[in-house]
Amino acid sequence: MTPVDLNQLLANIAQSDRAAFRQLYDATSAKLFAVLLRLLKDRHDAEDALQMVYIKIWQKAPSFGASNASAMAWLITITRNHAIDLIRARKPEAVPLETTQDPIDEALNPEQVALNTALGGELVTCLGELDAQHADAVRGAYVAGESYAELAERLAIPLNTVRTWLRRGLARLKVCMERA
Amino acid sequence: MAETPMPSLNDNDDDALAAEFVLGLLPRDERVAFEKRLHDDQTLRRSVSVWGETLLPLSSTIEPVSPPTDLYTRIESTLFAVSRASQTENLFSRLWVWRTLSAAGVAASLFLGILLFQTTAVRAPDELIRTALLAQLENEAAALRVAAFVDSQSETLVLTRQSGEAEAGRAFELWLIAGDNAPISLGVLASGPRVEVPLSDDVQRLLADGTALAISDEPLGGSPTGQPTGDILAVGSVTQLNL
Repeated sequence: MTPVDLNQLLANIAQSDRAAFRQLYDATSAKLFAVLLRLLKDRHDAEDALQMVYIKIWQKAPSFGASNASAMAWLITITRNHAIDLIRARKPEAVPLETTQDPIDEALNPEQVALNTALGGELVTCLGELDAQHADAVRGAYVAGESYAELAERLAIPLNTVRTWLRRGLARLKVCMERA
Repeated sequence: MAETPMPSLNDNDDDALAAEFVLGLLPRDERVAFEKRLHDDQTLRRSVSVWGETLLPLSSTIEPVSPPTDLYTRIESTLFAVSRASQTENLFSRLWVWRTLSAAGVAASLFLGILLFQTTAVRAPDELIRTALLAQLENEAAALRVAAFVDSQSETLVLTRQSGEAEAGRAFELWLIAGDNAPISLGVLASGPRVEVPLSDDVQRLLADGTALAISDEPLGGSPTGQPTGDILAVGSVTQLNL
């Protein structure tokens, strides 16, 4: 089975090709919907968000252009940023979470297990080389959409240093990925 | 115990910003500024793309979930479809005021494309929220179909012609109709499939939710009178989207 060429579809969508848009939707909507469900934790919100995400995809397709970038990474970045806007709008980011329970514990563990068994890729290796807290923060931000305030709260890092702290981790991750 | 020397993320912070953008960690105002730069900065786009791919495996364990079957129809009707709802009458009467044409002719030739979509998304309290205006200009009879899009951060209206060509020796002219006012010409459209129309401050102020855009058939160089003289080939109402 030939996988759908998402880059080609996006190039066609940039030319207002509706059939290509439909094909892209068929090929990617279940994945993007799952990402939205995971982040928004509400089916109704996720449905509305998916609608907006595809409108953005239609509008932004020309800016994806002829780049050799990964179409899926681009689609997921649009999806995640849209969801995160909605999350932040629900809950002002300046106010750290008051809950003391670990908000992403249950979401995270299956991920880690699955990552370690199924992927075994460079990312897993490199996340493994980071401080456990750095790796945890990267996953928390990406998978659960945690903000800096939430990461600071959960990992007990002062709010005014959490950004510098995480950037240090990201820099190490980058060095490791480039080496790999 | 000595720490490993801290690697720097490029010489500036752009790569760190790209990583934060992909992770969704940028505060909104920074993200808006970042996205604005992304438009013109290829290096920045490259950084975003590298980080997007680097972190993509984190989403690979999220099992796909099929969205409701009618969702595509909803998206399609938001972006493309034409509605026969009550606004049609309203827009029609506004056009009627300034358009000197037989009632039969108008009734036969106009097919109004109106976007009714209202996002139910939660609105952020801050004014930095990004919006866009979208209109679908259509006319079933003449088979001219044009999508119009303007982003709150840009001063350009982008028109994408999806079907229809100007007749030989004729031109398409774009009009803005705000309320019951006479149409304002936004100029003659260049012939390519994608046309960017720069917007003056005055026009930007007028271009809002509910404003109509229309395209008329005119002599090369545009209407000699400053008002539409030929057939209205496509018309649509502007809808605001919160992106």
